Amino acid sequence: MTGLRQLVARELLEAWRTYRLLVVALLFLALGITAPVVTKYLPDIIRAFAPAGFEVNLPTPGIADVLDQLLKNTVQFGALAAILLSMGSVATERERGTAAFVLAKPVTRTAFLAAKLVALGIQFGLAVGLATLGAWLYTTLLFDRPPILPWLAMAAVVWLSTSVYAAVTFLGSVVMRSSLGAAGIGFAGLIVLSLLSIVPSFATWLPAGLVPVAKSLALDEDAAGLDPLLTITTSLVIVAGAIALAWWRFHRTEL
Amino acid sequence: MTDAPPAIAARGLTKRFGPILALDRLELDVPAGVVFGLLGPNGAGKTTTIRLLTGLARPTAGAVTVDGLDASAGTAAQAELHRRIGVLDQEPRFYGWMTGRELLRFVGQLLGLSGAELRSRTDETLERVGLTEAANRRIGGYSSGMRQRLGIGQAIIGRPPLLILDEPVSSLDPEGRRDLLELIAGLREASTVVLSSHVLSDVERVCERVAILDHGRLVIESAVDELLDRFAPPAYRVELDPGQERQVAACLDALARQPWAGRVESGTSALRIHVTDPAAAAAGLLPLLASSGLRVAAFERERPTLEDVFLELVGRERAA
Repeated sequence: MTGLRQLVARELLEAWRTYRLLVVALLFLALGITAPVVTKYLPDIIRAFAPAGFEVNLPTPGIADVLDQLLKNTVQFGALAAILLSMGSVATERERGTAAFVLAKPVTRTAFLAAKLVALGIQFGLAVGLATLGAWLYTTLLFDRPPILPWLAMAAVVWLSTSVYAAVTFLGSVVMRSSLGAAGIGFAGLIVLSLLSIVPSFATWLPAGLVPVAKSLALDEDAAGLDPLLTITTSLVIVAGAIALAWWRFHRTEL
Repeated sequence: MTDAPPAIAARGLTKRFGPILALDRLELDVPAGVVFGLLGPNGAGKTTTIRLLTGLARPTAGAVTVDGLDASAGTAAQAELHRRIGVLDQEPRFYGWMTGRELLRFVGQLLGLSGAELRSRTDETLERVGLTEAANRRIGGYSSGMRQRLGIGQAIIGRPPLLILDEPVSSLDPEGRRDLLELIAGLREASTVVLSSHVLSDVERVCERVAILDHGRLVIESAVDELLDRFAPPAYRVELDPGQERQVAACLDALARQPWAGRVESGTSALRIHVTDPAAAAAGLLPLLASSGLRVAAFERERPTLEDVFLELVGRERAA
């Protein structure tokens, strides 16, 4: 794809210069670190603030509780970050006229879109990676040392979860003429998928089902009622479908 | 003109935006190796033509080849097309967080330059467009004139065989305009240059051939000299001593009765008299001025300008 390498480098440089990359990375790192810390000390904090004579009986937290906290934080915040980071990726460039400037160079439209997707993927990969690393280090300090590979598998599933919302918003960014419109499509996708996930028979295979899948992978155990392959495949199909639609639409768009 | 294939060939090129016909069956050949002016009032179809030439828009009908490549073929051939053309947009938009040097390096890399060649080409381009001192400043802090010069720089860094410049001097001060026009004139050795502009004196200064568009239609395409000879009626400039209002009125009255006299621009101290029959005017104008009792301070036959041709042809087109 003509120009892909240079375009990816430009996307990442822009993310760095505009502090987007730094802010997202630090926020995810903070989310990762706080998960084991909060899990470990929350019972003590509750006891400390409980009224005198009031007995608080809380189970001793473990790694499974850390994972619950970590996944809740990263998946929820990840969806929000995915929408915010993806909403302007194409729409803003079209609004500002920089898309026409770049596409008047020897660059294919496929490379233009692919560079943005690769850069988004790298940014979310870094963010989720830092969150996982922070959580893993503090879990090792405060609990036991978890196995690394299952946690990496968990991180990959969390990354896929953010990719679903990033891909839907990215499609919005190609279709709509403004980044706000793109964000609207991203949030609409988030709401629709969340509402559908309320139905128990849907929840296992929609992207919301990635959370229990990620947890079971991190704990390296088979969880009853889960179908990881189906859940992951569904999310991959949503990502691929959104990207294919964005590609189709962008190739028919005049700048 | 040479026998070489044209740098640009448009055949029946048509573009509609809903009910608006922006370009109507344009037939145009731009010969290679010339500086070619694209003229027309606002909304004439110049920018639409340029977007079709660069492949950023697709024609409703017709086709256009640019340096032998079909620019209307869709996205497939565009990367190769864009390797051969340098484009400056009417309002150049760049990444404000980049420095001027970074932007030129980025464009150079997209064009396949690297290493020492990329460095030297970047430095050379910054020098040519007068941005060496501002090279390491963020583009967001550039003035519109600096952005325009950077726009020229990114268009020429790849030394393309065809340059397409949409209103390249619109944001420049007189000195910047002069420098840029000299730069464009110097490019004709290596590139074909298509430039659209409202500033007709600039076009006249650098262009060998021009096309005039109006309401999406080609009014005429010709060499500038031929155009001036064919369509620009000569005009006479008469400077007057002050305080001759009565004589001026008598003169204007007499001119209105002459078949060889055209439009007259009258001021307090000068008249500009357009003529439709130069031979008859040469014989009749001076006696007419004398018989009106005018005291003439200066009398000059003016060289017709492209602006005269433009106004004449566009006016004629609209009247038709």
